[in-house]
Amino acid sequence: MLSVKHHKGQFFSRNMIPFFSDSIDRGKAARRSTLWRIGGIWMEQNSRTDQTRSWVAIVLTDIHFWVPVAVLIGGLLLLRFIH
Amino acid sequence: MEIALTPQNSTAIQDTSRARKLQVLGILSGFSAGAWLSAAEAPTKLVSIGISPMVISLITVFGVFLARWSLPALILGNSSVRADVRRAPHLIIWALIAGCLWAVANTLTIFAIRDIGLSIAFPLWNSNSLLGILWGFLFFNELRQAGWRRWAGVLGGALVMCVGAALLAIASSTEAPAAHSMRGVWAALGAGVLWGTMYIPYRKAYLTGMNPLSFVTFFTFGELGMMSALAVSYLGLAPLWRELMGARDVLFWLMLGGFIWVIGDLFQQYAAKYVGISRGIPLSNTNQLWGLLWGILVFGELHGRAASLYAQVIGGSLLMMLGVGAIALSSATGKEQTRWKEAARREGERYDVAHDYVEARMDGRQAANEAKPSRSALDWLLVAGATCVFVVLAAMARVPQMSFRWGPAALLIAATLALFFVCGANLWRTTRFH
Repeated sequence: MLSVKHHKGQFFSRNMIPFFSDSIDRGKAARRSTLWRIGGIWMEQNSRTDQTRSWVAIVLTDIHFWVPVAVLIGGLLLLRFIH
Repeated sequence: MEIALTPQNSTAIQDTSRARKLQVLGILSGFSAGAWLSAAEAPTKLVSIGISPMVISLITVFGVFLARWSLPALILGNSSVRADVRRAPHLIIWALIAGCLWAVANTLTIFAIRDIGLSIAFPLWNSNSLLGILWGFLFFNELRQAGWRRWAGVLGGALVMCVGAALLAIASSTEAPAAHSMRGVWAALGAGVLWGTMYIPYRKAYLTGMNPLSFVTFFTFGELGMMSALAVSYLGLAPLWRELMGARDVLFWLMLGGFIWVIGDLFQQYAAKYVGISRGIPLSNTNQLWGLLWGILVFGELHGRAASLYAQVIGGSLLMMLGVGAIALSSATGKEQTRWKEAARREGERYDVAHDYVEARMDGRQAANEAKPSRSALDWLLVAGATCVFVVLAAMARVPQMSFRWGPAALLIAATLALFFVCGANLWRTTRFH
């Protein structure tokens, strides 16, 4: 189950990973995370959250992931433009 | 004065020797990748014009997809893929993204060649090696504490290769189409950026222990999915089907290109794994050199052209070889490799992958608690199915009427196969393909 909270400044803590957090510094903190954000909303995971959601959340908060995604979107737009 | 050989000293010597072996293996894999990736272009050369670029790309990608279920399935069996996924499931996403990036980049190159010709397009997208160096440095600690000599070797070598590639491309072009030149330049640059960025997932996967054979599996799903979506959205389902039916005589040649490409890509991935992307990409970019040999010697390109053109070709080739030599001689030092290991540890911690597993895979060996990969009946069934498709398409194929010199072709095929056996045997001996 997921409970949803609107994001406010005070939610930032050691256990939370906002988008684009640096994978170099966050390390295990990311794995232990119980909160992740989609579209400006913080989603709180309960302790029984399955592992799949956990690794998806870690991938989504890895800046290395968003570089290829941004380039892919750019490539698709370029293809649409030149076609 | 003699130095006592303590157990610590002995382990350190073994580690250094192993690291050196893996570096040499990575360089050899990069060279082999260049040869095989260029050989993949030869069957597509046999295909006469009149087929949509989107359809050519789709059929090649389908060949890549089928090929994955033949040779790689035979090497380790699909049980190793399942084991890799259990340990590092996040790598599926990385492989899918890499496949999508490849499909879009490949389609862009077709438009680039159409609009500005190979002469300008090739050096533009060859700039992917420079981007690879940047990503390797920024994200994966490559070239950190490498010293100015190695920096000069890698960066200088990549730049010299780009100049050599430009000379070769200009020489190999017959005429450059003038229309839509800016559009073509954007397409070529875009392809370079996409291909250069595609190596982020490659490196990411290998730093957390994924086997290249497992990576290729999911990569081909991303590639085929993206290419199918592009072909359907740009052509429409019914016209696409009509074009595919119309091209059934040449399906085999295009899919054979895909099959050969998979072998080249596997070598490329072992290169990215053992020497990093900053060195692996420029080494596999030697495919242009091999491509030129195929074009001139086998397909009779540049036949009867001016001596100045041949001088340009020889000059470009020498520059490319010089660049390759500089990169090959700039192997990572102990300090740089320590930084690689730091990056691997960071990735392992982030994605909760066991440290001993990551370390073992970085060293090209199995972790102590890992089960030996085995081939099941399903593997043999998949291999048989993929082979059947190739056999049926080969029976339907028509040999195109074109100039083809068998002598040089036999020599190039022999050289390519020699690289395959030498590199394959070395990979097997040193890593058992792990």
